[in-house]
Amino acid sequence: MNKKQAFKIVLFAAVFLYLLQSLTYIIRTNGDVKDRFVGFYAEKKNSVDVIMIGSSPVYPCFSGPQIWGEYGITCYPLSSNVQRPQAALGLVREAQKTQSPDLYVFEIKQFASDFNEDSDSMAYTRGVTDNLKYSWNRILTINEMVSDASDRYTFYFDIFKYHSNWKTMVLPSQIRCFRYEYPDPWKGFVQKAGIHPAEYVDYSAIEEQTPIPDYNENSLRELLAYLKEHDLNALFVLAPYQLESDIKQKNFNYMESIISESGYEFLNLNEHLTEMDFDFEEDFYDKGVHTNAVGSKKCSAYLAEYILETYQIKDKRGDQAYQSWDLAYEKWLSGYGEAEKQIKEAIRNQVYTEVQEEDEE
Amino acid sequence: MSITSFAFICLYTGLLILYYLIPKKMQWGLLLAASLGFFLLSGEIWLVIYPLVSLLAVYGGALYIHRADKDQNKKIILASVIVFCVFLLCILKYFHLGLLAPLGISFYTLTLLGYLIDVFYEITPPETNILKLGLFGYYFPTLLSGPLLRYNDIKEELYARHPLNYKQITYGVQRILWGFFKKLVISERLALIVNTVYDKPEAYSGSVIAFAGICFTLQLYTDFSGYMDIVIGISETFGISMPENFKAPFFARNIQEYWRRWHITLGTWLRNYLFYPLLRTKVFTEMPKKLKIRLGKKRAKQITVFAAMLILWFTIGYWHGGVAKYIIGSGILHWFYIVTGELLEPVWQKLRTLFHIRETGKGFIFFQRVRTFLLVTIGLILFRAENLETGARMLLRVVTHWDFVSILNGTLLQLGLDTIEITIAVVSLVMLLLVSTYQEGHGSVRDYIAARKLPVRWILYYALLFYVILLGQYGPGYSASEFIYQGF
Repeated sequence: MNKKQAFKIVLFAAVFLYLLQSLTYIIRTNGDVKDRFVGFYAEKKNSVDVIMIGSSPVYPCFSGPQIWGEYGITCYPLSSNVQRPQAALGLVREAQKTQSPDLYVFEIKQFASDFNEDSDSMAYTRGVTDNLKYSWNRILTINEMVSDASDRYTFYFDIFKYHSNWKTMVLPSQIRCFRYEYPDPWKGFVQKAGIHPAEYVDYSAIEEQTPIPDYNENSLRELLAYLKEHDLNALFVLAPYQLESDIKQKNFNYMESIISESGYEFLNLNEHLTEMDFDFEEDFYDKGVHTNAVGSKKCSAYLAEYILETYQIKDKRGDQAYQSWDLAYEKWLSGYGEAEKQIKEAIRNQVYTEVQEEDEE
Repeated sequence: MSITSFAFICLYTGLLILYYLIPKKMQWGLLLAASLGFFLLSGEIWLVIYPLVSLLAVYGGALYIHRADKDQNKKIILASVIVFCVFLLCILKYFHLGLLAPLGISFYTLTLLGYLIDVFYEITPPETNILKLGLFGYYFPTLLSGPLLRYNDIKEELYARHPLNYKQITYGVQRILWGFFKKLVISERLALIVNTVYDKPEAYSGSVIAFAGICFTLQLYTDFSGYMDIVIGISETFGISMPENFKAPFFARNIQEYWRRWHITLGTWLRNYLFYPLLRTKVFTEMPKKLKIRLGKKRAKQITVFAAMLILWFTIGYWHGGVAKYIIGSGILHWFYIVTGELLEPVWQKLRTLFHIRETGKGFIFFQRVRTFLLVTIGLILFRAENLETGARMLLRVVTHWDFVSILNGTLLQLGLDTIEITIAVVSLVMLLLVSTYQEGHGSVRDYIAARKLPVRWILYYALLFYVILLGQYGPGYSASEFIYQGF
């Protein structure tokens, strides 16, 4: 074999890998999680002030467009459904590649979940790993999230999973993802226009602590160590939700002590419902799990004000470089008006969203 | 370990790189180590004892036969080793005693016995290096499903020093890709229909059973020949040529020709080491003489050959699994086809003359090919059915419960593949047919493509590569079945 032939083999393999990567990006399952991550990669370098990491309570609760429009801070969620704590560190490392945010916000509901890594959770694991661009960090994140080493190859090469999505290749919304970068006009936010009332049970007086599962505690401690080592600002948040039992409150108390020991803030929004004017009967989409548009507006405003008071973040409104955020805010405004109307009507008619057990994560 | 698994592909790639990095004199040793590794990774480790015992018996037997002076002693040793190896094969595999059989026992037993018989007939000298003989017997690409190797044909390349050769590497990889295409895109797709119908044949009309039967014939072909493409391609990348095991079998115009195109190396092995020696035995040399008086010379010879063929076809059927459905479906039934065909040949000749049918006419050739395909399919319906009785009932149902309604009313789309999936299967089969047609008439498709300009070549390669990657049936949530012939 001569040099020219060897070069041809290398070139063929390189083109193949490039095409394989693009094809995989295109046929990864479409939906709001993909839109959110693809949108994140499309954000201008070092343009996001706050990156929010966490499970499904994040993206319908904290509205980036609203926070921009009303407070001039760019907030973007790297959030996916049932996002396990083991994902957090990988997501921070991923974010650091293109952004240098003033603050990371971690929603910590999942840290209190005793989450077994079984076949059902694989889809949720993929929600994180299969929405990252190919990189060394992605491999590390997979190693952190998938304990069965023999199964990891289908995560490293997710074409194994998604090749059966080939029929979606013709969709323009998929084709445009060939670089895994395409702006999300909603900046990762999902507006929920329904309502299902929840009954508030106040556990805030409980001061006892109960440890969270070991593997989650390890992830929390590793995350805190990483943040400290890299001198990154972080705020740990619990979005409003109906706690399943007093144990959860004890779990959050336990986490609060670990977080505080490390010198970081913990903001439990369940303990600030009055200040936010948050109503459990009207502000949830699905019975105390995810906030609806109205609940989100209250939480977003409260969080933004808290951030502004606690951290030094410059208001960038009016800067031409942030036009896409202005557009997102306009979109949010018109969407909010419509959603609020629908929610009020649903309350009046007592027509509530259907709640299934699996939605309650 | 399946050769379509990701783990195998990774190990093979690593092996290939290492193969060309190490000193060339060590290449065959590396292949031996890889073969041992493949064996150990694919099953219970202690089972390696069986192939080792067979290897020792054949190695020692061959050396003794070569050195022995008396023919009688040679025959005794030959017979003893054959009986020992076949006995081991039968108790481990065919007598269903609940014992674990080592990987590829049928194939390595036949391979080694072929070598021993060749030494006996002085077709080849014995191999004095037991490790080299071990590589010949257990060469990992062929271990599970063949092709069956003949020592004389392969020994030069197997132990030779192979420099890195661009053509061998690229052609080998192309062949592997074509094998994956057959296995993952066609065979695994058709398996969905086949499994649905064969799981509950009584629920379907005769026409649906016939459709599933045809699907199984195509599934088996693409599965087995796809495996062969992968094996031959892997070997080609090591610089070792393998004998072809398939030559467009559905272009065969009769059953005899079919068996010269299907599982060629098994047919050759059985012909060389069973059928011809059988005809040379006293029983079969005496038989025509005894029958000549009553039947005449020609008929007596014909009956003798038919009798020997009956043993041959029984063996082929038995080799597939030792139960009635295999013995009939892939054995005796084919013997029946051949015998009937030959006995009735004068009748067919008269009919062809009567209807002015030209034997070389395209229409007639097409008819013969379809007829052969359907005859093979009948056997394979028995072969694939749960047992002989179920298979027979399915065949009966094809006749008694035939209806065109279930072909037209969408039933075929409810067997596991929707319209798009069936379209993919059909398009892929057409691609296969076009390639086979070209190979039949003109030769190597790879040579044809290699003669095109680089952009054309690369577009074709990428197109096939991504066709397999996207449309193949594999990955999480989908459990690819083992290659069908690995069970035999």
